[in-house]
Amino acid sequence: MDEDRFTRLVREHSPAIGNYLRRRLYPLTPADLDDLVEETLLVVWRRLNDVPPDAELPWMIGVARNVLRNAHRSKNRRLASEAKLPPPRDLSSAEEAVIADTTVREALRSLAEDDREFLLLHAWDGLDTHELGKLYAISTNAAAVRLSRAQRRFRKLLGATEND
Amino acid sequence: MSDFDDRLRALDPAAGQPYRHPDFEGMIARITSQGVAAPSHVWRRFQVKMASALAASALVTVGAIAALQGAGTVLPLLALQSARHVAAPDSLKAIYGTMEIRLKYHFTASPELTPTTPVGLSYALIIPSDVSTEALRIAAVFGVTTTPLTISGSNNSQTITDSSGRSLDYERSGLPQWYYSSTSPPVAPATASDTSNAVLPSHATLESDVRSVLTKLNYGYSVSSPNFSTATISTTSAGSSTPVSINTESVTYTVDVNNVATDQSIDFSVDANNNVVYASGPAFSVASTSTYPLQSPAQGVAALNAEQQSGPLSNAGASSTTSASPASPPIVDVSVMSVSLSLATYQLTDGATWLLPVYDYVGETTNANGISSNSNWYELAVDPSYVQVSSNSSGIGTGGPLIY
Repeated sequence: MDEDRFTRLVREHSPAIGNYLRRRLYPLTPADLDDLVEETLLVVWRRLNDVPPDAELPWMIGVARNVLRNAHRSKNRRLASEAKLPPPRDLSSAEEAVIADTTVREALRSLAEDDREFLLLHAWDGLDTHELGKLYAISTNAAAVRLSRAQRRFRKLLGATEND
Repeated sequence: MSDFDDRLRALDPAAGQPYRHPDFEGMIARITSQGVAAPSHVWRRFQVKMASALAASALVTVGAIAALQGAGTVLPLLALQSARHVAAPDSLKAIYGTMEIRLKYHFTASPELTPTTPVGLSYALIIPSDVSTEALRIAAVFGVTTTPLTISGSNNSQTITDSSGRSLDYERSGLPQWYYSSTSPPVAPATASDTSNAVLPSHATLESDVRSVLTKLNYGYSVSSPNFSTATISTTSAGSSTPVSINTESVTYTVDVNNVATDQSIDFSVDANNNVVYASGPAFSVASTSTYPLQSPAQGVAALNAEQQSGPLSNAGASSTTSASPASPPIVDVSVMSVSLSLATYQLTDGATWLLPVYDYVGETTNANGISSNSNWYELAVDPSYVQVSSNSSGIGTGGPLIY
């Protein structure tokens, strides 16, 4: 029974989890992506009874977020201890698509971190305000207000950048 | 979908790359073969990769503390949880890596960069102590009072909805924020148009509305630099699936303390009848002030450059022991043209929240097509000898307490 549910969760949501992680991978590498997905799903398996039926994807993204946070922290600490020069450019990166549009890049960079996260979880990961609310343990109403605010600020920043 | 949304979605790094684990069935078998409490083989593998950092980071911190204590500073050290300021609640800040935009910047300070004052005021903040009481107080200010009230939440957040659908959310993680909505929309209100086809309240009316609410909230901060806009938004109220269009006049104010701009803001939107549709802002008062020496603006620019090189905060310049390394980011030259002083929210390791002076630099970048644009860059202005960043800070999570 548990295995059936878990298998269904993996089939339905692992593509979204994989892409959530892929979008936020740097400075980890594509080689780390599958490990991070598996680590996320392992936590899901171990806490299967905690997965809320009405918010499976947000809950799993929350797990992926923590897994990624730990991985980033470990990576960053190691980088801090090594402080070496950057390696030669040898791999293209998913994020490079972002920098192709300079104005969007600048607008996103200028956006507050929470606004940027809300904006992209909605635009890229497809979370609606109910799911954003579940992910952040806030009401759907607060999520809606916050998303609307982030969208408005992004539009203003984008407009300001393009008018420079 | 608006042009803005189209452009954003067009840049999705994962678009057109549906993810599938290369050993999908094997992965499921490996996971389900493990007991509930089994340790993570994957995570252990990752931990082994990264293990060397912990001891090194701890040593750096201890050494820095010893050096600072030896210097005999009079002012208390500011033990920050993170070098990043916290405009957002902790629950959001902790996400980190939303998208590390992969560019590396090199800053050059203009010779005309005006020196600012040698010292700057810092403010310890008072955060409302009781979530429930504060949420109810703010709800009353916005008229969320029609009984019966529905109250839900936890120790750190509260949602109050009245029988008419008006709703007030209050969150107390990081610097507390309140959010008011005249409805309880199940979906985010979408901006249908940047124009309005209705006669909307004047700017002066909206300004008066905001000041009236701020007086009732009684936090003691002021606002400045209003940015007005109009829009037609499409929203759906609770209990209805039919979107309705509302014409709104909105304003965003910068929150000031002692006439200095902070990283906080107030947002207000009203409809054609001058009813508040949405509003949001921070909940804090100033407890006390301290005067800290500041580094010079030029030193701040040097610090910006140092952060680009150091890796942990910028995520740039990565090296890796794995078989594949991230690509080194392109370097963008930024000509820093002007600087001003503002205040940004920081959390100390003892849990206190402060507004600290930061340099707000305006820098010009020129893209490959020769088109220039200006951006803002921020750097903590307090003399670094008075600042200790927690060893756990990497922009994620919170650091452990440092006791001085």
